[in-house]
Amino acid sequence: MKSLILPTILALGFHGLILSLFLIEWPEEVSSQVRPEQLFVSASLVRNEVPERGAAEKTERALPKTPPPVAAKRPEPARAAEKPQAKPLIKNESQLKASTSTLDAERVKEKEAEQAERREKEIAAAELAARLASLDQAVTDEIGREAVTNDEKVMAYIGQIQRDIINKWSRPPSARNGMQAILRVRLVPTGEVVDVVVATGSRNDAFDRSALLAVRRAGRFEVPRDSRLFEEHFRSFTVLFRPEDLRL
Amino acid sequence: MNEPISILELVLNASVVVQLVMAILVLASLVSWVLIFQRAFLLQSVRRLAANFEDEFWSGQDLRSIFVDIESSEAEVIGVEHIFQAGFKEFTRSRQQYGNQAERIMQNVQRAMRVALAREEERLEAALPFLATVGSTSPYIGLFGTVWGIMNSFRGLAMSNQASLSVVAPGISEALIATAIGLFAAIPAVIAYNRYSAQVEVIMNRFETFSDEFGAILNRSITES
Repeated sequence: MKSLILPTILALGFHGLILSLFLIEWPEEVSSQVRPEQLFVSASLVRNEVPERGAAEKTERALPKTPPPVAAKRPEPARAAEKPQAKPLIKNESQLKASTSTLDAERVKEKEAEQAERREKEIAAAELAARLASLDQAVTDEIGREAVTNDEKVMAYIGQIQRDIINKWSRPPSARNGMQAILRVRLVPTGEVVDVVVATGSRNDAFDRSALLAVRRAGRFEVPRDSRLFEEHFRSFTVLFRPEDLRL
Repeated sequence: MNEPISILELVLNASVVVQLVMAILVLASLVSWVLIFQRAFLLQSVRRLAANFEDEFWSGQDLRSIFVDIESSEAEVIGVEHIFQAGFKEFTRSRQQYGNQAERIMQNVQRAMRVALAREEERLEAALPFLATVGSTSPYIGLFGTVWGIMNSFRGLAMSNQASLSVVAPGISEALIATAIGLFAAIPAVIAYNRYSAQVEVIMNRFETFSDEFGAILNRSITES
């Protein structure tokens, strides 16, 4: 029995060494194996001109909203500059009344301006409230944030659509790296595909057909319920089909 | 799917049958390595003892004093010493009983040494059948685990509606681990079996030669007296 102790320890140590080597080495190998899987196929959504303009509009619309506070502050220094000017005028008695009248006029103007500003702010706030209400999302006081989250939403939906299409896409044996086909897909607000046509073919009929078939098989996509987002991004979009993992 | 799959995860997620196969193979590998080390030490010590003893034996020392040395030592008597001890003990006993009947004495002495030789052979070859079994069957056991795992993962592929490589790949990967472990257990076992059985044969030849020579010496001592 005594003669078995040392061999047992040696054997256990040996196995422990082998196992630890495996555990240390394994992840790297696996990550290199997994990487090609990500490039399995790519069917990317290409946004057509309409969504791009929509996005531009949105950023434009988002931008003017931030300036108002700055614009509201600007008149104050101007008024401060006016007041020192008014003081020397008071010394001149002949122009005193006139100056007071102008001061009154100025005050009225200021009031008017303030009211206008307030009204502007109110209008802006109302607009903001309306927009917030129109969008089914959490209350955010920053307008920039809203645009970002919308973009994120759109990206999430686009990602889902890409995955749906890739899952249904079975490439023909004649597919080669570098081929690409662009399809135009039209949806109805429920997400169903009503029309899909080849916009730019790959000059390989089988490839184009497989792409068409993939979209038709998917049949229905997940789309945002918000009709504005849907109209801007998903009413009509194009899909780029391109195999990337092939050897040839 | 993007995160790397660790080998531990693969093993833990495998089906029960595959896990069982892996456990059996790991156990077989462990035991065979214990035996490999134990055999290595044993064979080495037997050879060293034999060399020392033969030096002592051929140095012209009195056989009786060597015998007394061996009898008085507390360690287990193995190898050549065991054969010498058995032969000499039988020789002295028969000598008292039969006097000068050389043929009868030598018959008894040779029988005693043959028994001792058989005992030694048994001791040296004790673990070799196990190593042979591990070497020849563990690839099959591993293969069984792999086939079972692949079977299951293909069945999973048939059930899932999206037929992609990523559905079956983890299953096949985990199943192949069983074959890997099987080969890992089998290769050292086969090498050790071949090596040790060759070494045992060499040592047994040496023992037989010694017992023949020892018998001749004893025979001469009877006829001379």
